[in-house]
Amino acid sequence: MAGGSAADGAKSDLVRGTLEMLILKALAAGPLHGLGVARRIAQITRGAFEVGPGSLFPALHRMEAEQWLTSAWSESENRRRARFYTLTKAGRRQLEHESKRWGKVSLAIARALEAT
Amino acid sequence: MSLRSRFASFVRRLRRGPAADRELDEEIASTLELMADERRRAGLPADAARRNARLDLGRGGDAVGVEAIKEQVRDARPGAALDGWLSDLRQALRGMTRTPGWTAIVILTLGVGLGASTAIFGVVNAVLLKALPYPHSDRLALIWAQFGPESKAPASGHQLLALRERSRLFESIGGIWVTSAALTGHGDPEQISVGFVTADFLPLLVERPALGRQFAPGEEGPGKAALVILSHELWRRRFGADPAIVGRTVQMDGQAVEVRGVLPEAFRIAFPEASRVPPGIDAYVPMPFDLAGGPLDVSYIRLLGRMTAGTTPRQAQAEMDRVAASLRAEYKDYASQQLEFRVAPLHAEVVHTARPALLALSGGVALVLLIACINVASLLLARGAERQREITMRSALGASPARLVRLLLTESVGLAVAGGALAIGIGAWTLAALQSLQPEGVARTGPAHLDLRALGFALATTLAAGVLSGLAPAVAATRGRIADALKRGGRGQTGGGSTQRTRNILIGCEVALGCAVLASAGLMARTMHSLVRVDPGFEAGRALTLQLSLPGPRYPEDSDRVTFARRIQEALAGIPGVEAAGMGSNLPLDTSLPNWYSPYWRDGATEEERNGLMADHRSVLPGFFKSVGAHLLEGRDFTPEEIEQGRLVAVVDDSLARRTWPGDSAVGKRIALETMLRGEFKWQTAEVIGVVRHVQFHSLTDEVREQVYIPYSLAPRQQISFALRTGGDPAALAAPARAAIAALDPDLPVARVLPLGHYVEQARRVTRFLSLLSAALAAIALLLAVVGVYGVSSGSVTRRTSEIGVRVALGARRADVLRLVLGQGMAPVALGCAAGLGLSVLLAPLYGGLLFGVRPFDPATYAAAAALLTLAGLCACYVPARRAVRLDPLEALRAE
Repeated sequence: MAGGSAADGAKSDLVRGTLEMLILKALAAGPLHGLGVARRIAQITRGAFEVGPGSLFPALHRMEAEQWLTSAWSESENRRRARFYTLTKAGRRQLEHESKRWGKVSLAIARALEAT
Repeated sequence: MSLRSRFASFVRRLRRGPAADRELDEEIASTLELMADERRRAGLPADAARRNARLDLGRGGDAVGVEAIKEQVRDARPGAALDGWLSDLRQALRGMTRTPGWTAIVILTLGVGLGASTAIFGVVNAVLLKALPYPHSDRLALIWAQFGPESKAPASGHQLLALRERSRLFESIGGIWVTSAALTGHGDPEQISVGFVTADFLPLLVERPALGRQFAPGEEGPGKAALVILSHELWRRRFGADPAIVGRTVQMDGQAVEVRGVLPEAFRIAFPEASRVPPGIDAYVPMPFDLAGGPLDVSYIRLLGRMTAGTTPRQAQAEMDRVAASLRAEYKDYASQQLEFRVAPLHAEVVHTARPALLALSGGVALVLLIACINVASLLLARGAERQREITMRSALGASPARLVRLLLTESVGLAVAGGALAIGIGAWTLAALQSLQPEGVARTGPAHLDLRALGFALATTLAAGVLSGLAPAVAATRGRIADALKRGGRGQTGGGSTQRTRNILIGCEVALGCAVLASAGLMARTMHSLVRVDPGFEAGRALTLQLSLPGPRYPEDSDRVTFARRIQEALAGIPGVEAAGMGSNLPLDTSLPNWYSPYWRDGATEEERNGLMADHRSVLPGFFKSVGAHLLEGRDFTPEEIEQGRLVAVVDDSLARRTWPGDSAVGKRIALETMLRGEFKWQTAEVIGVVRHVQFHSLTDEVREQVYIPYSLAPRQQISFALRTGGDPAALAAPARAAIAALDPDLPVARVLPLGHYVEQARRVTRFLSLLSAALAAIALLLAVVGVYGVSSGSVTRRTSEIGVRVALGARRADVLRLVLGQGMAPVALGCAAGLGLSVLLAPLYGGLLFGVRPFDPATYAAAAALLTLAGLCACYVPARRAVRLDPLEALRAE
């Protein structure tokens, strides 16, 4: 998933779930605009994931429709108008749920890879 | 997300769709600004920063631009599919209204081509394919008697009983004989048609009456109580749909008859025309004759049987062959008559007459349908080619292949819906018109319905062909040849070439099919023309006819009838304006009465010579030949004295004279024929006093049987018809004629007061129907072909605008341009015509049986069809050709 290519992102549930989980995680610390979310993800994954706008914006809108996020227009750090996304309660629950699931899955995969 | 909240969100989105789109625009714009800010902070100059940001935003993954990102966001929203579809629909509608001419032509082609053909298919379906509305109708079969060459004959009472007794494969055999009776007592006297039926006849066709019950087996035969079962129509018309009618009495032929029942409303008798059992019988009474005791050879009963389950017509026929053989062995009369029985499944026999006509029509419809199909495909194909540039552009701007295909499909479906709606309208209208136009012989099985399944199928096929061909450009455009396609999209010489070739082939096929349709319509029109000019042996113009049925109880003796008939003839002849009044037992081409035909032979003929010679017997009063305009070729008409004295004299037709006394005059010769005195048929020998030209009594085109005419006093039949020849309007004689008859017998109903020409019209009705429909089909085919040729030619001129401009700029003259365009447009027309003539030659034998007075391979008709198509093609090509000629080369080149 290097580069966070949107083409891959749209194709499998696992990967799509991963992108959504990263977005939820990025927003857990506070509201961010779209570009902010992308930068934040790059930061928290230490550059491993660079989410392109082609997959970021569709994901944001989808998640807003799922009511995990809300959005509002507000002023950015350098006084530009931008659309800020905020995690909702449902979004927080979803993040918890996703983290647990991810924990299980990654553990299982790690085991599988260790097994000889 | 629950379904409800999903729905709520969708509704929200629907409501703020445009607002959401605007917000998305802003969001993307603000993101761009933010990205540019980042770059500026990193030290880039302002415009470089912005450019760089835009590039960055557009890079990566499948998103190739800002628009593509937006598209993906829209797709990600809930309800996106429906939403996208709505926008597709909007776009499709926009596309359709942008080219209203093209849209109208497609919708019209679908509407007219499919609507009209589906309606005709509806008729074919109702008549040929649907089962008859009777219980176990697939097991019903007519049993025709056959005497030597005389086929489709009725059977005698004795034969009916013998068949019932000896057949194992028929579980029931019923018989009917149709005559007429006078209904009196409720308003004006009325002549109704009455079916004399055996008790088991009606149960073969209807499970139970709407009111009352069926006849019981013991209720038929002489001396039984008079009973009647009424048709629903007569019950409503004459007795005000009285629910308590069963058990009451009505007056028929002056007798009190008890009503036993009323038949269901939908009940019709569907017998073939040859049986002389009409569909609209008003009343049924139990057979009053002694079937067992009657003469062996007086044949009048039409037989209908129901085969046992699992019996094939072939097995039933084999059994009937055995029964006939045993009857011939036992009875000398049957042996000399060469008696046989023919089993004919009712449905096949009923549609027998209509079948060739309807099959020919179906063929015509199939051709026209195919033409419509080709036309729509060609139009969609052309549209696809013209839109290649647009499609490529959309593709370049980020529309996914799926999206493009969806857009094109939406357009086609939109066209299908519009065309289908129009087709249903046109189809319903056509069907109504067909119902009112179609002759009785075609419509015996009841009303046809618009077959929506067939319409749907035709629509789907047409569009599938069109969409498949129309989709090709979309698929090509999205297969990574975008740049390539863009480069040539405007000009399209290379890319459009194969499309143009395909369209030329389609147009060639269309013209070929159209040519075949036109040629067949031409042949039908020539047939109609021949029928109008054929000499039927009488003069139909300026004569009024009417029918009387003399009730037995009122005119019991032969002499009563003769006297009364002569008094009526005198009274009618006295009406001012009547040039001649005549009376005969039958009128030419009137098939509403039972036909009387019997063997005849030259006096002194050996037993061997007598076999199989039958003649229609007609009893007439003097003046009959003059009143119907028959041509007396030799000798003279009957005299009043011969009537009074009942002299054994006869007039024969020229066919009989030629066959019986070849090369010799018939007048003065003696002939054995049948008379009917006091209800008994009798062989007698008469002297021939005159010869008339054969009168077409049964059909305009075939001489069915020879004819003998005898004085009415030798056979005073109950049913008599009068003909009044006049110099003026025949219709004006109707009222005085009725008054003259009422003055002599106020209770006697006067039936079928019609001009003699009506019967001729009736005889031409199937041909008229066919020629009308084939002309309509030909008109549609021609119209579609013109549209098709115009479409292709016009498209070709549009595509080659620049090329023509270059040619003109390089010095091509107008005539050269005209020749270029016309030549290109007409090439497929010419090839199509040639192929169409070949196709006509192949198809003509299939409907050759319907033609009269014209050969199936009539060169003049074929040439006319091809010429008409070529002319129409020229007109269709001329319009775009003129446009090409008037092209300003500068304009044309700038259009690039």
